[in-house]
Amino acid sequence: MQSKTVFTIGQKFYENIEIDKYRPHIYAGASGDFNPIHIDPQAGQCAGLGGNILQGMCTYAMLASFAMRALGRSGRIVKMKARFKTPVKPGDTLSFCGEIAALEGNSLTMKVEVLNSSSVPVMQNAELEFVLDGVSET
Amino acid sequence: MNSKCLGKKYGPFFYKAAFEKMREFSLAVKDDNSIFAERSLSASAPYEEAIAHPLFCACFNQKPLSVAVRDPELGIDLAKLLHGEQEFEFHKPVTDGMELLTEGEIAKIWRKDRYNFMQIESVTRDKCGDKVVTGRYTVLMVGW
Repeated sequence: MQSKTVFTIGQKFYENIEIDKYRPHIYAGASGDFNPIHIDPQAGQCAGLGGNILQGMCTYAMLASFAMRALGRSGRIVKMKARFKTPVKPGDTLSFCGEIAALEGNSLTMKVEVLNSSSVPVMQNAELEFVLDGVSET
Repeated sequence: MNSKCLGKKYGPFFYKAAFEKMREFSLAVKDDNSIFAERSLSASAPYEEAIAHPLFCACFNQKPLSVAVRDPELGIDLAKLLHGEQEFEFHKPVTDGMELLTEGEIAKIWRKDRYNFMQIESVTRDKCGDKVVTGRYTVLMVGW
């Protein structure tokens, strides 16, 4: 029998994810989002972005993956929201800091702060709701 | 943005999920969890078949948004378009071979300060008509 995972309100989780030079291209191939501002540095320059930028949905997916890893894959995401604040650029390292904000029964809410290499927030109001299996509250 | 487009619908758009594409997506977002990449482990985890990363829905659920922002009637200048808040509700996991239909609707158009805002609600259902994922995409455009 699988042991229960114990979580606590206020419990924090941290992870850094590097955005390599080819990540926008790899994500474009996987998702079909070939908008030139993501894969062509010149198009990004022309749009005033200082080069190509990572697809927002890729950052969004990394946010979900961070939260799933933090909770040890012990449940599933039922809802998530976040507001894009600053574009993510190839070469950035994203720092994720998640905190359990609510825990009731098998329902858990995590709020997450995401900063780029310059400690600038790339997302705002990031919040994920999980339904957990085998969880106890402390 | 043309506020007369409030309530305008886009779709339905068809998409069939495939295991290799699901795996490719999870690796593209640097998630190497075997539940998304190994059929046998998905089955023990405790799903009975391979499942997709939740944000795999980017491949089909945001189709109404990408069509709407190019709709001449709506009058969006793509060069001035920014992404705002996005929200998802995941009703059931996407599995290999799942046939999906996505329909979107312009749910809100409003103005605040120098920005025009629009929210599209996009609902993806399986072939039984059950909801799979609901996405709410807010975009904003500078100027009137």
